[in-house]
Amino acid sequence: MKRILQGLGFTTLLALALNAAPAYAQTTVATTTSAIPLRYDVSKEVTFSATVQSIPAKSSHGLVATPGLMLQTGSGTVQGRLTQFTLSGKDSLTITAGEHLQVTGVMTTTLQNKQVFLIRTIQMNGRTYAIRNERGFPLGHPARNIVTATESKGGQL
Amino acid sequence: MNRKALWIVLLALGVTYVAGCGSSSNSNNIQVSLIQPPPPGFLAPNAAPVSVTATVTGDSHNAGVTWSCTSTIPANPCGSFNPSATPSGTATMYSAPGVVGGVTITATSVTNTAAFATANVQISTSGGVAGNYSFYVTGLDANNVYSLAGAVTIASDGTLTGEQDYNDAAGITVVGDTITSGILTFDPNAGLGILKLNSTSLGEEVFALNFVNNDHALIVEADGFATSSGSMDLQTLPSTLSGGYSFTLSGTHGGSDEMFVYGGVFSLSGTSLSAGTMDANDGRGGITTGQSFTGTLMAADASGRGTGTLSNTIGGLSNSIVYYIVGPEVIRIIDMDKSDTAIGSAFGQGAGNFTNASIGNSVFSMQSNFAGNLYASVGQVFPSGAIADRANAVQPEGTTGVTNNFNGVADVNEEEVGFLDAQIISGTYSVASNGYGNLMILPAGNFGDVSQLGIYATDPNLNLSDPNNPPSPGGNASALVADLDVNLAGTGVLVPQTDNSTASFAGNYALGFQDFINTGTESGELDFVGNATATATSPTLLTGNGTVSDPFDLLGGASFSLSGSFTSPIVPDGVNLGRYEISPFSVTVDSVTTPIPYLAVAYQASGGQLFWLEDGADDQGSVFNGQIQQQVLPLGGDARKTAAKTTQK
Repeated sequence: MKRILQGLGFTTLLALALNAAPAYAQTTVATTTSAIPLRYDVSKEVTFSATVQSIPAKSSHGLVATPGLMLQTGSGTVQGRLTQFTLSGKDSLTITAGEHLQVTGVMTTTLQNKQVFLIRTIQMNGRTYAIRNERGFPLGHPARNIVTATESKGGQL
Repeated sequence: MNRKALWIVLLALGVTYVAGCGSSSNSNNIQVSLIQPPPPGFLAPNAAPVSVTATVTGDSHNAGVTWSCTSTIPANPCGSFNPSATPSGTATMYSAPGVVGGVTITATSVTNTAAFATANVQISTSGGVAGNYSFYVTGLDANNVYSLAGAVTIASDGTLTGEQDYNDAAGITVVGDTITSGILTFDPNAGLGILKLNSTSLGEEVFALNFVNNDHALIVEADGFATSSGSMDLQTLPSTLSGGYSFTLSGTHGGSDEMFVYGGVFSLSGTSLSAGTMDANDGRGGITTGQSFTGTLMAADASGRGTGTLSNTIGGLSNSIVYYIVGPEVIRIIDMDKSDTAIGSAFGQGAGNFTNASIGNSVFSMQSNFAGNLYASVGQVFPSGAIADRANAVQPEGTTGVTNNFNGVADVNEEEVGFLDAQIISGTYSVASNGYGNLMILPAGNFGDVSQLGIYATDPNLNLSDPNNPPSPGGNASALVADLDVNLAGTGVLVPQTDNSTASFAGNYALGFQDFINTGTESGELDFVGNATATATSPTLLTGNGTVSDPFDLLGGASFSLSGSFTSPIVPDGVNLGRYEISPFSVTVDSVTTPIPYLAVAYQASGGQLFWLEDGADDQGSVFNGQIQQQVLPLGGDARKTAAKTTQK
């Protein structure tokens, strides 16, 4: 298939990305709210610094149990959840064990009553990358989603 | 080609076969007859040798016959015979050539070459399955989520031409791509096969498929460039589209890849699309319900492909769409905007005039696409309230009718936040006369993040999975489903549950699933299509094999297209009839050391149709959802039966 060979240049992609938002904004929408609790409630965001204790290892068949990024904080270990775009695919990030990060997100309780931290932004190497939007939906191309300092929200863990 | 036309072609082939099975005599009254011609119907290229036998009468030398053949395509090979000469009444073995086309086999008297007998045989890769088929898939390639829809005209020898449309969220949009050549090959006794397309813009695409019957196949792109799941269905092209339709679309925005889904209803009359009402769950823009919209659909071409524009829609569904007709009440829709991608279907509503009573006992199944918060959910619901409404009480004009209650049981697998197995659910639902409705699982939060669904009723006479064939008898209306929850977005179906007896889950099945994986370290999509046999008597097992498409090398196998096999216990739920645990669903994949240790759960709409999902209890960081559909084997059976029947005359 030639579709990959038809890949656009970065400049074109950037132009498309910039054009997408205005096109969407032209619509008039009457939004509704759901009675279901927000899984990602941006008003409950917290920010903390941590050291990457481990990232999931690839097994022989590719699928692994207990996916997640284990983060060592001053008050203990936190299981951080990354999106499917964070470490794989185009414009993904590279995170290694021992790396120091600052993450912003929301702690949530899973259906199995485990605590996991849904990470929305990751600050490392002097830059902050968004991996979700404020509704908690995954964002593709995280390496391109650089957040300015004023967009950072949340308290401290 | 419509179904009637297909029959005409098949009948013609049968007549051709008989006409070609001729003989000749001479003045010495030597006669040659083929007492054992090649099997009726079609032989695959390089098929296992078949025996053919000729007798000679009136030959005082008793010298037998010599065997020869010619191809209908000049310079093409026609096959071979072993031995090339036989005594009268002694069989020779005919080996088919490696290429498709017509072949004439001739047995000629050694004593007098003017005496001979002939038979025609068609060398085909598609078992005689032919006609115009529409296909659509959605999945993942290097550019993230993509959508692909098209139509192909398949000849009886398996060769094909057609056209297709491709769109992804990275701004690559290929409009009206001509499929210049290709070929369909499959095993008529299993349905498993390959569809290869060669097109002007997209180049070569390869799909693994499994035919459920002659009209319908589950397909998976499996060429190393992409992986996806979808359907291929025989087309019946109407002169015009008209009436009420329900639709859903699933897609992603360009740039940041937030997932969205749309669902709703509209009416068609000629090129005019009117009375549209749509819902949206947009990861970027939020949840919107009841948005009115209109549009225009231009007339379809000879392939059933048309274009259209929509007005006053929500989100990215505002510029251009392309549609492919499957039949008068089934349309595949692909959003061709460069700023996003989406694909889905619209199904007719038949006589319409829906009420809450239009929905009866049902099985639902839904899933996100790869860009969303990954999840799948399958379950069954039983309406339980509002007796007056269920008795078709007249509703005030312009109202949506009273709300019905339901209860049921369901499973959900949310990749990021866990799973619920056999969760008892209840809630309310409502369907307006135009088919637009909703179903609420209450209280919100009782069933994971799934609670608020848009449902859009369709013609009770439509089988949403296999639209060329009727649904199981005795059911109510089906519906398309859009998940309108704040934490999740997905699309799916709700179909009548007409038979939940365990004895009915037996026989040959085509099955497939789309598996979204996020282990934290790596992510991507696997797709599977295959077949299986379900045994209803102890031990109840699901045993099968098929193709695993893994272009992202998530399994570490030797290729992007792998063979997978499984033998799994089927354990009926002793409490919830119609629910089965297929666990462990351990898939052994060639060149992969460790089988994939899936657990799976299926819900039975009927013996012919089940929906299944991966049970999150397997803790694999993955979510799959798919269908299990009963097969009619052998494929190409219509052609075989026609030829055989005619030959016996």
